Amino acid sequence: MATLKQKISPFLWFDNQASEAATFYCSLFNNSKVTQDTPMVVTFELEGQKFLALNGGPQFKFTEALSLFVDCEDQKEVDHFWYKLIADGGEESMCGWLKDKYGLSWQIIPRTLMELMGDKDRAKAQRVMQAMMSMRKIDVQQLKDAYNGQVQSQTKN
Amino acid sequence: MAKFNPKQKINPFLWFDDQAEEAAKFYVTLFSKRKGAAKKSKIISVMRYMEDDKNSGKKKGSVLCVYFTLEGQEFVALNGGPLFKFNESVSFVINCKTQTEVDYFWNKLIADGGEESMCGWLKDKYGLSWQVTPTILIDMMIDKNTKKASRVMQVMMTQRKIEIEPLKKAFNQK
Repeated sequence: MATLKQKISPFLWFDNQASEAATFYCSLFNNSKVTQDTPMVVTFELEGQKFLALNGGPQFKFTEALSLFVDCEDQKEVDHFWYKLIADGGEESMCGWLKDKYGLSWQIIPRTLMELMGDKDRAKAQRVMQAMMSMRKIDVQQLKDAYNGQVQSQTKN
Repeated sequence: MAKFNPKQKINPFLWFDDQAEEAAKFYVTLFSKRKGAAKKSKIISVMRYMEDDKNSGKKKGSVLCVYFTLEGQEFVALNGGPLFKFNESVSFVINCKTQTEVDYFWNKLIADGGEESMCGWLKDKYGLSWQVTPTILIDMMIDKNTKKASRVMQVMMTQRKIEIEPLKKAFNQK
């Protein structure tokens, strides 16, 4: 019997790459595994979260309307997910967004960004926001510099 | 500093034009009013635009994003302007235990401008795709007896909202 711990599971529609994509995603995250691999549907877990992937044909393509937001602890983790996900035909975008080689959109976001942007001192938060808007991959140190009102990286070197 | 402590490593992030807060409230109400909900559904926090935003056309002070949880699954909803639309490439499966539960989610989600599709799929009034799926359907479809599984599949393909009884009948047919 299928045991489904989650009430809601994200379901990804692929043309025919469900199994390959599931295996790829599982290789990036800890505590991850493919739990069922059938020709039509593949189920897998990333950090304990359940996902489903379908080989459904070419009708539907991923769009930025639905992305997966990865909560990263530090720069090292940001770099890990960023470089792995843009590899082999992925595509960088702005503000921590990217598309992987299957066209699925991800946001690779250090927790610091959310904390600094939520600061009660709106001038500080605003500077962080502006710094973020100019970035592709998020740079934690530059965000902290902006928060503290220090000169941006252009003149830092 | 503001607290942002998602329990999940990966959070589905929904891009709305300007209905993020309304949609989040709709989903939270839907899941929290369900009888027998094991976990809470609620809005966790709301972030606002800090200044007028040229890209999205949003005004300072309007809602930027809403962070919410539905029975243990966390989501972020953004008001990002009209650039991107939902489609069927990413949907959310609601794992239902009973027909009553299937009916509840189905009828609420297609209301007020939602749209029925086939095999338990629908779009809600915001265009987001859901699959309202009884767990027993999955159990039957992955049964080792592939003849039984295939009979279930054939019946399922003819259904819009999933009806459990006809599926069971197909499964148990001699």
